[in-house]
Amino acid sequence: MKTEFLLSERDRANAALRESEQRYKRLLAATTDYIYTVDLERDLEHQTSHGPGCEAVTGYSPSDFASDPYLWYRIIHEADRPAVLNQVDLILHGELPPPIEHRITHRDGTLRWIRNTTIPHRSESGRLVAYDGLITDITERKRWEETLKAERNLLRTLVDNLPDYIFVKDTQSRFIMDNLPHSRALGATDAEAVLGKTEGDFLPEEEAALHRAEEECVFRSGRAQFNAEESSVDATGARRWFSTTRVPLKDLQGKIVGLVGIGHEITGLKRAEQALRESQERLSLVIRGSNDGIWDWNILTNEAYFSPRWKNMLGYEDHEIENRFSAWEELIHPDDRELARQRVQAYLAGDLPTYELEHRLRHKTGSYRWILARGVVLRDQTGTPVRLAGSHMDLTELKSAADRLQHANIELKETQAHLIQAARFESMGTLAAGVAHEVKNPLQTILMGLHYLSQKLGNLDGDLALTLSDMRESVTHANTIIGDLLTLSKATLFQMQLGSLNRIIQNCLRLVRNPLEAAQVLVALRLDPDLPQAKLDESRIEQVFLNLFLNSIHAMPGGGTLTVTTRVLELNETTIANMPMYRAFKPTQRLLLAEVRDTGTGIKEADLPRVFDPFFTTKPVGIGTGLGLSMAKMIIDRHEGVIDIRNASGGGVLATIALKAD
Amino acid sequence: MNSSKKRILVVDDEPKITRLIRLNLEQTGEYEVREENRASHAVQAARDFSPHLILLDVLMPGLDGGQLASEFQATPQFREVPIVFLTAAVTRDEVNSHGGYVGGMPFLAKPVDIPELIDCLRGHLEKATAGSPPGKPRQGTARRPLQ
Repeated sequence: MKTEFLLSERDRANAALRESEQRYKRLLAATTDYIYTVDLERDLEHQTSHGPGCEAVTGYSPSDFASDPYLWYRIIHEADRPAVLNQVDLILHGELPPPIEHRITHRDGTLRWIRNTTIPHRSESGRLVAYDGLITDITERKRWEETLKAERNLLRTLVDNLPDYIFVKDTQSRFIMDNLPHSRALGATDAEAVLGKTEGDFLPEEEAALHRAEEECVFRSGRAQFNAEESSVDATGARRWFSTTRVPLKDLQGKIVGLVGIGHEITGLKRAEQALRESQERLSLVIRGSNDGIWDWNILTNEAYFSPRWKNMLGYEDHEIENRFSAWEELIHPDDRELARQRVQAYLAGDLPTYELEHRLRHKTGSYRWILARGVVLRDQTGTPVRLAGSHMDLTELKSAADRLQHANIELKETQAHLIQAARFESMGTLAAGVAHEVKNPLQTILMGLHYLSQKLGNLDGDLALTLSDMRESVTHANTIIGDLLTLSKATLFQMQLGSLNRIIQNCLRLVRNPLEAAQVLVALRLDPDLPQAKLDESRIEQVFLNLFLNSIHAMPGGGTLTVTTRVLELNETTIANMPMYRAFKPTQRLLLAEVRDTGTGIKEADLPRVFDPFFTTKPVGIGTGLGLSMAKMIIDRHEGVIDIRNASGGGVLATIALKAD
Repeated sequence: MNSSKKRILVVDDEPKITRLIRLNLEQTGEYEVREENRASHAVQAARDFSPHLILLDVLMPGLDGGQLASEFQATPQFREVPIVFLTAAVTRDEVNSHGGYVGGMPFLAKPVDIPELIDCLRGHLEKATAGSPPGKPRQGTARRPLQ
């Protein structure tokens, strides 16, 4: 019974064991691809059996392995065999080795990765009797791992080699990952040295706190912060600028676990921006300081830019002139348009080294402003002009000043000429006074001597009488010259009173009636009956007209017409501009004009500037003294008038005398 | 001294002038002429000669004609004697434009022709003999004719 009982106990135990092993096998079969079992005999491998799943993993069937005890060993990758042998060695020595992963060569020749976990089987006495090898095909996982590893490697390479700063921090702002450029920027030798630390370990406290505050903001809001511009002072004391983007890092559940930071240095950009800003400010200052207008013409599109000052120079507000090239074309003076076109073309063609043009542009009021345009061309890579840009300077005031200066110069020259002439008159006057006295006495002697002789000699024959007569005439002529000289030297003896120019002219014409008739000169009188009186010295003005009339008569030996006109002239700016002889008067001056015109031979142009010079004469020797017009000019000057002698347009000479009417 | 002839004292620093005036006037047979070339001696010469008319140059070394005329005017003996200035200091036109008088005194401008001189002298001599004091300045006192 006992034996029976014991047997049945053993049988039950064996049955339970088998059941347990069956359960173990099923369990293992569910979690592994297949199992091989190595039975040991006296601690040596006696038999190896591969489970049914082996074919799927190795390509070989259990019977293949059964018939070839070394098949398994051969399909193990040569490089992995030591690890496999080591695992076996460990288990045979009673240890429990960790699973190993190694490669095998599939029957089809491909490499497979398997996970090999050995599990020892011991007898009740504890002796190792067998062990199982649990094989799991991990080829697919290995492939993923390789891919992942490659990707991680790629990522790391990228991260470390990008010039930008890239880092990952946890919510305590500790570095989880950092790339090399950023680590070095922090002063660390490599990225590993930064991990687990915060910026406070590397940067000044204030700066680190600032960054920490920004990061807190990202953590709190959950929103990314893009391109935040931050500056810091580096070890050399130089301020450096960075642009940083911080993106919250979330786990799979969406919980913020940190942030990813990407930054790059923008110090160069900042400096360029600053330089550009300063440059623009400088340009703006210069432009404002120079008071110039700025223009920019796109030659390809005909678009243009005109600065507000450009427009303001012409009296327009910014919005009143369109920014297009035709606006300029519409404003340019018609007489300057062709010149401007030629100048631009010549400059663009390279014929001119610079573009500079003085031209007129129409002001809003309709008047024209003188503008100096200067510009420079911008060419594309082929050398084709694409833009012409430059400045406008308002030259109007400058031009006006230049005109005034020129006018002043002319007046100065005229004044100088008058002064020289006056000085000549004065010196001549002084001389004349002395000469007159010294010469007149000898003349007196000769004249009286001639008289005495003629009385003494009585009735003389022709030649003797003629000789004495010639001598007397010569004395008279010499005396006339002396008289004229004295008149010039005694300019103070003027008696100014109201008188009629018309009457003086008529008197003078009566005095020259004989010479007029002798020369067969006709007189045309066109006297203004309403001519007002003028303050003048009648006898002096008579001298002037007598001189003019006699000059005209001498200029018409073969006859002609002497036309005498009087009229009133109301001066204005235009008349003065057209007739420089009136520049001595104010623009509102009312003048009495007397014009004496002959139809004679005229005066050589070269002689015209000298007609008022003392002793200058174009008449033959013995006719005239060369002082007539000098005297006339002196007399008219003393009346604050002007005398002008010129060749008349239809021939002959036109003498004009202008006296102030009031 | 021929009482029928008019005595003319000619005062001029230029002897040629005075001589030719003398010759020409005396040639007419109507005048007796005394020449005086030194202005400073003119008054004394007049005292000696008692002229009916004095012909005076203006610009002379020492005393000028104006001063001399004043002296004559200041001398009672000569106050009535007409004085005519003959000078190179004025022009014929100036004299004519003022009717033969400058500053109230009769003037002749050098060079004067003898007939014109004689006409002038004759006119002033006639005025003097007609009752009007010969050579009396129109404005009462003699003045320096030209400054």
